[in-house]
Amino acid sequence: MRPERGPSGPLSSLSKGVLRASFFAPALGLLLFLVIIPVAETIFISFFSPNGSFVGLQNYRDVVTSTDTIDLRDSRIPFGTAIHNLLWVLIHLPLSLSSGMFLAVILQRVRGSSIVKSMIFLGMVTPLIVGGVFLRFLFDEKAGIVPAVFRFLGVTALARQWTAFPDTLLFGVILGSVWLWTGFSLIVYSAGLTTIPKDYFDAAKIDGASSWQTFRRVTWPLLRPMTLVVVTMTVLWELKIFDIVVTAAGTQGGVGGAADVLGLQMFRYFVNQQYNKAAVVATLLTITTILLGLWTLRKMVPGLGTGRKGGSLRSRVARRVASLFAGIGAPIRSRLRSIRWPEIRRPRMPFRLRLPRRARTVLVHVVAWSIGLLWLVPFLGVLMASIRPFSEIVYGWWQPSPFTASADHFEQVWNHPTYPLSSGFRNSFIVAIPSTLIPMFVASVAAYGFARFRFPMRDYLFLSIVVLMAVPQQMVAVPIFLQMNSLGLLDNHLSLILVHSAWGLPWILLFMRNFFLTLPVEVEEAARVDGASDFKIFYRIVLPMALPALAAVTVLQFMWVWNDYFFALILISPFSDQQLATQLVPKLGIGQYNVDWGLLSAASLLVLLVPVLVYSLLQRFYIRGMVGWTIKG
Amino acid sequence: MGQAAPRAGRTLITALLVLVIAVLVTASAVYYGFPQKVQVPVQQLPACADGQPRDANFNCPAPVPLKVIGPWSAAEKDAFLPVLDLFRRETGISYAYATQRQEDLQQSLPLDFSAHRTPADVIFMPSSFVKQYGTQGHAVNLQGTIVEANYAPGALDPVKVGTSIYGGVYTGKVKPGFWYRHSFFAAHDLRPPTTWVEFTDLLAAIKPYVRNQAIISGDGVGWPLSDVTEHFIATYGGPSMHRQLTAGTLAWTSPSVKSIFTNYLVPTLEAGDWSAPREWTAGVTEWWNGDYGLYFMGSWITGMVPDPSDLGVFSLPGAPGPVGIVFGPDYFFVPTYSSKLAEAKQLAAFLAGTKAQTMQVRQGGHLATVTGVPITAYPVVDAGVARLLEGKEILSDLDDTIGGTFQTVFWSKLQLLWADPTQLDTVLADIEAAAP
Repeated sequence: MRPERGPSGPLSSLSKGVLRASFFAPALGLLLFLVIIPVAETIFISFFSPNGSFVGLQNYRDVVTSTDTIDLRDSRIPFGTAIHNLLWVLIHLPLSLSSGMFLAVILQRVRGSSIVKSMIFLGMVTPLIVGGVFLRFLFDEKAGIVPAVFRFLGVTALARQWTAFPDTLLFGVILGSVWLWTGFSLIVYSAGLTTIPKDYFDAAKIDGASSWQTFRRVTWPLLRPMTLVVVTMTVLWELKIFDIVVTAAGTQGGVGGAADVLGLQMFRYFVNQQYNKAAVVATLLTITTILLGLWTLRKMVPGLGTGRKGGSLRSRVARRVASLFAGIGAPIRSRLRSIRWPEIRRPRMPFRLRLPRRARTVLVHVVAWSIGLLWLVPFLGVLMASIRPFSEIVYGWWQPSPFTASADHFEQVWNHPTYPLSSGFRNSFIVAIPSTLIPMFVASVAAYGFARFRFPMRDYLFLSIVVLMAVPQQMVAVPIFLQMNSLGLLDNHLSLILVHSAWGLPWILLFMRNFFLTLPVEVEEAARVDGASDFKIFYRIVLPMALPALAAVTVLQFMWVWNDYFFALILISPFSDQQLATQLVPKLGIGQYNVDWGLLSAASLLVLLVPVLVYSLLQRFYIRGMVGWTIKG
Repeated sequence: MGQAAPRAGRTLITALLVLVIAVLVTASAVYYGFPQKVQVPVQQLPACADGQPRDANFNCPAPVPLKVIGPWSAAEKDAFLPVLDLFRRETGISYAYATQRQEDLQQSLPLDFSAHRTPADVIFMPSSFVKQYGTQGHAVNLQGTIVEANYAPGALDPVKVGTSIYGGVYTGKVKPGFWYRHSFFAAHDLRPPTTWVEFTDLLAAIKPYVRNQAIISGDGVGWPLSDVTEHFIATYGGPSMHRQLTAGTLAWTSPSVKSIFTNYLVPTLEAGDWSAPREWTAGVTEWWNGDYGLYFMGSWITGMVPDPSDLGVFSLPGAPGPVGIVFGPDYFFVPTYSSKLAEAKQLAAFLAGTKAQTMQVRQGGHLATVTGVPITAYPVVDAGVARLLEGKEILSDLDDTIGGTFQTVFWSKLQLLWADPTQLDTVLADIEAAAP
């Protein structure tokens, strides 16, 4: 099915090879200099002592046997970073994935779904540098909504300061992160849903399939490439999880280390200049990511990897890896075509809700909008803190009296005499726009190559790039800083643009490649028969069809760059007028001995509004992309 | 309509590609520099200050100010700037001040130092950081710049290695004990305790009059809890125990140390006298509103309440011997890579002098570390706090002095102790494992 051997044009095989190599060159170049070489340095130093002598696996032994990593001495929580990360995967992944997919599916049929999606996406765009403000309005004994709800329900055991006790801290942070991360799976699945031809749903409907059957037999299988993206990215995020934990629990992981995670353990090594041990954690994270990612994906996508049997171990592994990451859209489509709807047996369900169509529509709308409003709750706290004096909301932002509202805090942060947020916004735009567009196009070109061209070691190369997503930023901080210093690019936006472009490539590549796999190859084959070159096919045919995915990439990459704090911290100095908005937020509200909740909340809201607006504006491209899809054939 | 979407898509993509190219061209221009039309020899003109190059019109740029990084923002910064203004008036050296959180600097400064750079000429950081990087050659030895005799004996020890002084001690905050409202105590006929039994009786007496526990446990990332613990140690273990623990010559698991916990702190935790750790800035409001009766906090609380004259404070009573009191100064240092070393040293000497510290304490909330600052310079409430130091041995903040991994472990394990006092043995064992 793949367009491997279309009618050859005037190009010789050599020039064709060169042309195809050019699909990969920009991405590989950026990755090589700004990710791969720094990462290689990281792995290298993990075998050395701080004074530079080779110590073999000693650093690994020290880290693995540390009670920070595994702590089973006492059953009352602290399990250690490795166990905590495992808990993250086991709890957070299914919750965020299923809730994102559920919302994406039901929001297809909801009026004003774009607004509801924007509400849910708010969690994703929260800059974690100010996440503490949000957590306060979630988990604080007096000002937090969660203990207040449990107090109302009479569950006094949970009507307490959630961050002060090991059990509630760990699970509170994980659940809070579901709130944050669901926006990601929602946006990916929403993009994926636009690629499913409406004909399939119509056919299923005509054949009498129920909503559940349609979801199980049509939507779910066709969303598997997107599931692959969500699972991979979520597992990677969970293994690297850092910001939210440090925000909620501090650098030691909170009460006795109850919420400590590997990313935080590595961060502590980094801050304490134990770079070798930090490198060990980063390397272990990468290896764990590969193993866990493969295992998870195999479980998630049964039936894959059932290709040829036998051969050497190496070839079997290679086939396994290739099958896990290879195209799965075509087999699913062919399987779909083979379905005879009347033969489908209705799933045995404990009960069946039989409601008139109108009542069902109302129910779906009520559920969708309720969830959307629920997602807004933490923001209401921040909004109240930004417009009301702190003394009015200290016992809960929902207290109606007294209510003194003003926009003073917003005005103060925007025109602050020392750290005007307006200039931070300008700088953030200067960095975020090119840092979104450059990797999007560079990665899309390469992703198309990975999706359509066949060449030796392709899957290994792809896997190697994807694995780079597992590397935490802190681990390459030193080499990147030195690189930029030698180039004279410190305090220069170009350094941030280059770094973000390179660091955005792996995930965009994975995302776009999997999206391209969901596109039909027939149109490309026809174009190839007509003599179109690979690049012309990509540019004229494939990219226009990829608008939904490009819009999703734009939103996510823009948001990540916009919210970045770490790279900005090390590459832009505190005196520079090039500082980004996220750099200015803590300076506006957090002092050594005082926190100005009003300024902090106002600055936080302003900063997160930009990605929300970008998301809202780009939603229409989903629709347009869907229109483009339906005219394909 | 069918053709509209691909066409729109192509148009969008073309526009975006053009934008990408424009960005790349601009970026390369920024990196490599825009071509200059005329190269004019300027050697015959006098050099600019700081050796800066002249601009295209042969003018010298404005002199680069002395850069200072401190942790103070908003009102705290406003209280510090008059000091820098005074320095500028006296020396004619202009300055620029930037706020930067110390936890952020802990990440970025090592990178700057590895590239032999510094973001500022004078930087405020914890003493453990100053000492660590000073010994590695990243901080200027200020011996001869800072007059040790101006301080109380031992004040510079946290930033001193041998005879080298890698930093200066600015003003500080004392952590004297439990704060209360005079009006609250008067309304309920309560009195500051003079013995341990009176203290526990006071806690019991407070409970009926507050909405929550008798004492609020302020929490940031664990540090107010560490202040409380240090206060118990410095009172019932004495200054020598505090110093030995700081130096790592006494084990946290030793019976003498453990007895401070089992005899004093843990019983009050188990009795429910303390709240669960709460965000400490909001805690000030809650305590002031009468949700709690007592608040252990540093002297900076005087600048955080609506009516400082209603504030009272007492230390833990009934000490068996000499009593120590923890004093937490702010430390600064001059990075080796400063391009304005002479001016930076001038500022260092100024900050370690009477004039600067007198100006700072006048703003409220700070206590001087150098001798010679008149008591009249303090606001009334701060003068009262300053008097609390009389007759007590001054101790450096234990976890600030040790720093590094110990500090965060210490904080985290104390949070665990507050959550579950029965885990005392595990807590002390883990703290000991991280101790120097």
